[in-house]
Parts: sequence; structure tokens; C-alpha cells
Amino acid sequence: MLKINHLSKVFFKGSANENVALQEINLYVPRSDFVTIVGSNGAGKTTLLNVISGVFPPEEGKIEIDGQDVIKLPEYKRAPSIGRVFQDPLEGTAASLTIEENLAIASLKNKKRRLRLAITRKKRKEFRRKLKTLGLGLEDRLREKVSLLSGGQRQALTILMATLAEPELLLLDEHTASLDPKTAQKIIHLTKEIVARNSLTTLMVTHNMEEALKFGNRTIMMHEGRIILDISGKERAKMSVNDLLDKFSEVKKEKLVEDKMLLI
Amino acid sequence: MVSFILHGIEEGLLFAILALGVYISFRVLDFPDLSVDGSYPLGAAVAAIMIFKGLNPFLVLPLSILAGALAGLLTGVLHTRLKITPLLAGILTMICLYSINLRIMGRPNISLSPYLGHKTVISILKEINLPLEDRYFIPLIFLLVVIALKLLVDLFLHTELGLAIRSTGDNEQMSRANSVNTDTTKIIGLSLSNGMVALSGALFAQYQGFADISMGIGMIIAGLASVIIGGALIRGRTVGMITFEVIIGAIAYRLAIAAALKWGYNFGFKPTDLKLLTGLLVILILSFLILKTKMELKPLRIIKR
Repeated sequence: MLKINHLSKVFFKGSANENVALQEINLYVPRSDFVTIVGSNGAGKTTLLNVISGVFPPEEGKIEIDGQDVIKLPEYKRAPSIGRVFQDPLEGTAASLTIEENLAIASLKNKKRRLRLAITRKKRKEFRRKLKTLGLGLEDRLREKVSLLSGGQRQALTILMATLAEPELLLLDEHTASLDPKTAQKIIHLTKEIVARNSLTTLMVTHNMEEALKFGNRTIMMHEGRIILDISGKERAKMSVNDLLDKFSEVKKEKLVEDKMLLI
Repeated sequence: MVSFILHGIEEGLLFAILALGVYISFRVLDFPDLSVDGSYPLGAAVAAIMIFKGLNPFLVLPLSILAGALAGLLTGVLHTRLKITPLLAGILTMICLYSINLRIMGRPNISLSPYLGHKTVISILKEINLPLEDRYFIPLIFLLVVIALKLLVDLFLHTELGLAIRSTGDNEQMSRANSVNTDTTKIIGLSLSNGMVALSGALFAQYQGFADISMGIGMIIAGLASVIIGGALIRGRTVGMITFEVIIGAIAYRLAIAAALKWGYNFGFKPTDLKLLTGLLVILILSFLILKTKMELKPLRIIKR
């Protein structure tokens, strides 16, 4: 489904602030896999998602989605096969447009935008039905502006929008990080439901180690632009949060030793 | 007094077309587009020279719109393809248009006079014999045209394409993530905006009977003034209400300017102070709006917590 080969991304290349965000990433994600991604700040998790969705081009490497090489496609052309939910609830929706207008934009993701009314009675009915599945009462507020919604409601709407046009791949970038614990719980639950219902191939970045092990069927740990751990199946089932943390410091130490050796 | 007001409304209505164009670039696309200062006289120049050469004054209008749309296209391409900032892209188009407008007219101004056999949209309307007096008939026709344009803009902004343009101005990241080609939507929006601005220029040239190379100076601020005044007066929330308030704002602005010209002498103002007054008016309203939101925020916070 998603195939990444030798992917590298360097920010500010050639300047004093040069920052290697991704080095030699190789990743294969089969269809319907739910991969959680953990790692410290600056590990390259968000950069990875951004390179996959085409926000900026990589220095090197190949990305295939559903057998199609997408590396040369601009962001908006990759969008039909990718659904995204961002960390900031403000990022995924247009605040000055109404709920139904936001949904209409998302529903046209894989279609040509023409000179006909964006919202028809048929579409409105469809939107109402889908909003009902969120269980937030948004189905009665179709014509309200999104700016009136809370962070959690906006994030729920974004998830719905991201999956409305049935993407191949769902990218979640710490999409519960800026919500209060109770709302975060709700959104996570909702995410699981929607992913399961559509059996979506999913990459979810999270800071929460427990969440990382609890959800999905595979966990990746990133550090300094590399994938340093990739577990699934029994190995993952046995792993506890502490094991995961140990693994993390282990790799970090090894890295430290390597660096020291380089210096000596 | 009645004719003074009717006159102000006539001018305000022609102005409203420009203000609707400015609304599309400034508020819908969130793109401060200064090419307006060039596309307004461009529309006037195309209309004047074509009428001067004997073309039907109604037929010149689509040509003016097309010329304006091309100007908007240039600004859009400068911004999206060459990554020039919105302000600079607009200024570049504006300065290029200054020379282009001179080329089109062949001289700094063209006057259209019925004595020289030039027909304008207004002179043709006046030839129609109606029980209604011309001074009521002309503003009525203008009103109908502006309402028709407003409804067209409203309708367009609710189409699939129009919605994509609105989301581009609101949240570019979200738009691209939803497969909107934000370069294209910006270019389409700017072309539409400048097409309307040029139409306003073309009608104004016919209305006042001349086109002048300097008639575009400060037009962006005048358009902005209309949008802001309308917003302060009505504070609409839907597209239809906002385009309505823009029209009201344009008429209010034009009436204010006409009043300043008529009675300003008593306070020591000269007609040459007009641009200064417009600038001051915009500054005044903007500072008033900021003051108002500041005052409103405080009690709101008390209620919330």
C-alpha cells in the first residue's frame, strides 16, 4: 500500500542551520495496517507525514502509494488518496465557512470542482447522516460556522472530512495532543471506529507511549530522522511502556557510544 | 439636495462594482491586491478608446472586463508561479498597467462628448422616453445592474469552484489537503476581482464622459473604504449579507466624499485634499473598529469565566 525507499530530507541544506530531518527511511505498510509512530521531539515524525503528503519534496528517495509513484505529484494532487488530521484543530477546517461547506469541500476531493452549487439537498442529507455517526449533535448545526465549534468538535469534523472521500491512506499527526484528556479520549475512540469501519491504512503519530502500544497493529519508533524500532505481532503484544522506554534509551546510548567513537 | 443625494447614489452604485471586486480579493481571498489602481483605469481606457473609435458602448463592456481579468491573471501568476508577495505582485501589475493604459489611450486622457457624436451607455439610456425622469431612471438602472452583479457573485461563491476559492482565502493548508489547487483558485479569484474593477472603471468613464490616466490613483483604498464602512455598518455573516453591506458601504463612502467636496470649503478643505480625506477616513474607521473589539472583549471574558 505505502512503500517508502531511501527517503531523506534535509532542511536548510548547506547553511549553518542544516538539519537532517529524515535519513534513509525505508518503510513498507501493507493495506489496512494501523501503524503508530513514537519518538522524541525533532525525531522526524511530522516531517515524515509531511513528505508523504507532499507539503515539501524530499532530497532523495521514493514514495509509492497504492503502486503509484507520487514523488513528483504536488500536494493537492496527492490529496485524493490521503486523508490528514493535524495537531492543531484550527488547521484542518476553514473557520469562516459553515460545517456543511467544509464537508462539501472535502467531499469533492477526488472530483473536479465545477460551476454548480456545492451544496445540494442530497448532499446535505448525506452530511447529516455522516455527522450523526460522530454523536456530537453537529448534524443539527450544518449551517453554523466552524469558528463556533470547540477544538474537539473541530477535530472530530476534520476526521470525518479526512475520511469522507475514502482515501487510501490516513495520516494522523498527534491529532489529540492539543485537546483536554476527556475530549482526547473521545477523539481517539472515534478515530478507531472510523478506521475500523473503512479498514483504512493508517499512520498515527503520538506522544503517548501507552496509546502507541494499545492502538493499531504495529509500532515504529523514530530517533534523529531514522526508524530505530519497528515492532508488530507477538513482540509488540508483549511489550510494555517501560520496555519501550528502555529500548529507546538503549538505542540512544548506543548512538552516544558511536558518536564518541567517532570523536576518538 | 435631492439631486445631490441622487448623484451620490449613482456614483456610489458604480463604485459598488469596484467594491465587490475588492471584496473578492481582499476579504474572500485574503489577498491585498493593489493591481486595482491599474485595472480600474484599464477598464476606463479600453472603454474610452473603443467608444472613441465608434464601437457600441455596451459592446465595450465585455472587452473592459476581459482586459481587467487579464491584469488580475498577471498578478496571480506573479504571485503563484514566481512566489512574489501579494503586495509586490499587485504593485508590479499596477506600474506595468500605467504604461499599458497610456498605450491603449495614446494620450493621457480621452473625453467622450455627445457633441462629437460619442454614445455612452448613459446617453443611450437617456434617449429612452419614459414617464420616469432621467435623474430617477438612471440610478434605478444602476441599482438593478448592481443587484444582478451582487446575486451573480453570491451564486458563484456558493458553487463548487467558488467554495474552493473561499476556503483558499481562509485556510490554504486545509484547502490543499482537500485537493484544492490553491494556485488556480487564487488566479481565478484575482481575475474575477479585477474584471469587476475594470467594469466599474469602464462604466465610470462613460458616466463622467472621460477617461484619465490618473483616475486609478488610490482606488484600492476607496474600494477598501467601502468594504470596511459596509462591514462596520452592517456586520453581515453570510456571503449574501456581506456583498450587500459592501454595496451600502460604497454608496455611503461616495456620499461622504460628495459631502466633503460640497461643504468642505467651509472647513478649509480643497478638492485636492480628497485622497488625504479618504486615507484619514479609512484610518479612523479601522482604529474605531479596534477600539470597539477591545471594549467588547472585556465583558465577554467576564461572561465566559
